[in-house]
Amino acid sequence: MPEGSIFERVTLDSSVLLGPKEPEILAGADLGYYSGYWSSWIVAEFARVRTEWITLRAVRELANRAEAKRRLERSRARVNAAIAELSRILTVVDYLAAPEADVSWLSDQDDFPIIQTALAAGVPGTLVTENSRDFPLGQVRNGITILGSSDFLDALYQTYPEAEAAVTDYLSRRKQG
Amino acid sequence: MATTIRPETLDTLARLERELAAEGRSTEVEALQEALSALARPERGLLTTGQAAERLGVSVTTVKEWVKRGTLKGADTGTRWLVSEDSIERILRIRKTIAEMEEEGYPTPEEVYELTKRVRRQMASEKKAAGA
Repeated sequence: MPEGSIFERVTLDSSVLLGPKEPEILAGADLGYYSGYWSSWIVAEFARVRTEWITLRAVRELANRAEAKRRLERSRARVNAAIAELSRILTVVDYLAAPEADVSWLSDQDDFPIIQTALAAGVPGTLVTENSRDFPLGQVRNGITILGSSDFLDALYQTYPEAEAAVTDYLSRRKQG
Repeated sequence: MATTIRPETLDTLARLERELAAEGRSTEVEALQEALSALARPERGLLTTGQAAERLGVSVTTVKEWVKRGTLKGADTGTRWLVSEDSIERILRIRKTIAEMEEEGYPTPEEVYELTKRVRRQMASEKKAAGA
């Protein structure tokens, strides 16, 4: 990919990995249309949110505690497997090694490790997030272009017209194993 | 015992074949091609593009494209393409992981926001406590 392109260093927020665009986003990275990054913070967040969501759903849907426990255990194993596979596609960066930056624009300072991850991946870079409430989508902050997953995929398919068919091909027959 | 051929070895052999062909050493080229064809067996950890395409449920053209992109490991040996079985298994595992996540479902955007906020707060205070 051309140097300086928005696809050169793309940090994926856990909100993207937890959402329904995840398959397309991962396929695009594995096909080499962009270089994806995450950090130990994002890995931990992804695992905790996904497991907590499964627990809440099991509690909501199932009166049977044994079944809820079984579902939770299966989900934990799947989350661990997912992290192992995602780590083969995404590069882990040390978010604590990010250069210092003025991030006073962040409305919630708890989001700082996400920006740190993007800064550690390198500037100029891109952050893909579904969190439109706290991140200014479509804008550039500290050299990081912040995009929602749909806009990111649109940009990817516009830049590489063959990518959409390639991603579809990649994901085909995934349910047949 | 099965021997796994590293994709780098295939690249080297393919390069060697091109160099020998450029020098007009047809006997050596033929010998190398014969050896490369013999390597293309599943028990050696290498598959032909047809076998790879069948495993992955995509076309041979797609397999060749994925090798060129580096998504699959393999090489164009001049007379045939060979694909590493490990790299095919890797894609099958990623597909399986994605399918399992889809089967379990995805939280709504609202749930992702609320849960992420909560977990992020917890993690920030855990980090602060660990540093204190």
